Amino acid sequence: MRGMTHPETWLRPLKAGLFCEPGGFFIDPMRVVERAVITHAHADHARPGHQAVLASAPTIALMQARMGKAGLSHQALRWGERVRLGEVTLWLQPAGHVLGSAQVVMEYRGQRVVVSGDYKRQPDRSCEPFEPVACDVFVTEATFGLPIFRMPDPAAEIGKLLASVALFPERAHVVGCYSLGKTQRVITLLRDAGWQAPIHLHGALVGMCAVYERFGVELGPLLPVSGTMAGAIVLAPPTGTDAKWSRRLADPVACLASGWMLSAKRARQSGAELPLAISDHADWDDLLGTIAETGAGEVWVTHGSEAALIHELGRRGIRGRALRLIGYGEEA
Amino acid sequence: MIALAGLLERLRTCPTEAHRQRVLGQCDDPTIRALLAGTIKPRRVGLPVLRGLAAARVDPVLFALSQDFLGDFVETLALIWPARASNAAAPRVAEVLAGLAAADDMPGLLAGWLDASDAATRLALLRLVTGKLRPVSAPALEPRGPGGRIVAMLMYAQSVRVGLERDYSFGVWDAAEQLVPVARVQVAARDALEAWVRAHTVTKFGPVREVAPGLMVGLRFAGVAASARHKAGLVLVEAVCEGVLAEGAVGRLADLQALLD
Repeated sequence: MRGMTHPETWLRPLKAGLFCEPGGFFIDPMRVVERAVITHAHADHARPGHQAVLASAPTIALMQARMGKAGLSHQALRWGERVRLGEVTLWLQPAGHVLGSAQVVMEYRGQRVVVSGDYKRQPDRSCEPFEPVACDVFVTEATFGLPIFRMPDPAAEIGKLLASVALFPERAHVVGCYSLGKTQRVITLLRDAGWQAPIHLHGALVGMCAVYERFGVELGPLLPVSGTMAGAIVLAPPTGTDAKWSRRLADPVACLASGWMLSAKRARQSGAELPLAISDHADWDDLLGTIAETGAGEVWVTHGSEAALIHELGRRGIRGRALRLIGYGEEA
Repeated sequence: MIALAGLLERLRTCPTEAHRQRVLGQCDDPTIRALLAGTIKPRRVGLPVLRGLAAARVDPVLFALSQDFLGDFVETLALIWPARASNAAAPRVAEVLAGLAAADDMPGLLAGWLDASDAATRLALLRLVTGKLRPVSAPALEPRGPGGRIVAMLMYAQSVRVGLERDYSFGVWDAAEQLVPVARVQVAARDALEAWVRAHTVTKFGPVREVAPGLMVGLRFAGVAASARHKAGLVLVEAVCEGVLAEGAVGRLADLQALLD
């Protein structure tokens, strides 16, 4: 692994983000750059204003819906479609985080690096499933990089929501969830659990749902919020559950769908009456399982709880390295 | 235990006593009801036994990093527990109570129960054997009186998660012009605030730093609740920090009497 072509020499964490020198591009840069490869359309990874953007077709569409355009120019890649950027061969594989989320695969002088972006391994029919790619260096997130984070079955969490609707039929259930990814996941989980009734959306969530439907993800009947919403399920941005608009709702049950809800303390701090541990990130077991599947001898950790993950990798004979990229958020 | 775990999860966050009663109404198990009412007192297991279990099953570095994150030993043990394959069903509450009373191999008995349980059930089981069940299930603080805004002084900073956020305790003047804590607020760590706390630390107890008076903030809160655990006898409900005030704000620092009124 050591020598001229070791990925450390050509893929480097700069202030603007992870930079691939022989390819002349950044991955998910925090600052405006000439050429950006974007893993997924969450705001902390897909920033506006880049000259040229390369991403999956759904990611381009979601970026356009969020910011008007995906970059001054953009190119959409099909899954597995190879392109040559400078001296680097690059392609995208699904990451299973949200619709269009991609791992970036790069080959240069006989070494293959995979940058996972954010990813998860739990089944989720609202996005393309993660596909492991064998590589020399795997660059992973570690949002939930502690062994206390082992996510429960999301169907059981949705079961708690439906049980609460049955117990408190005179109240409105307002589920706080991020507009991109969590919203559509919660909707598909509700549908799979047999909830056929319309699901009511806060206006901030409508745009992303429309893009999902355009890409063939069926979400069932969706309606705006109206009246007291007693007995109904309302989805709203996480900060929207206590805002003015919710005051007309019938004694609302504030629910929050987030992986952080696995911690009783975090759940309490969130103020949610019904915390639901539904995560769009790999948990501890899935981080370690995925790393093993890639066969990588070396793992770089972009952000999250890297200390525990790197310690555990060391126990397994894998070299871990913390990149400490700043600016990726807590959306989970 | 599964039913108890579900009840505890839901009770913990019920906004009012009426809502709690509705949740409790679902439970027709007299043993669970007696436990929650405190009329059955299970035999307690000491922390050394639990620490021994943790040491036997979990790498110490991983445990320490996890406990740093959660700030609670029992919750850490419940979530981190690496269950061994078990054919046993999660234990029933009556079985746990009888087992505790008769156990001669407490670590072995507990490990078997933990192996057969999911994370929420493990947490309920550990709360039960460490005696914390009734604080967990006590009625939620009922906000009394209207919410409002006050000026309060920073008294303690406690690290919750290194580099991410801290709990800050704020106080107001009591009748003897001593500061008494009335609110604990979580704030995302900011470099300037962290530097201030480090520069003004008077003493440290574990993760808690006591700071010299000087930093004042505006607090917004939803109500005031009586609390026997607070020296002030009350605590602000849903307090949110609205910002740091200039030093000249000392004249505006609230006093306890205003909150009692």
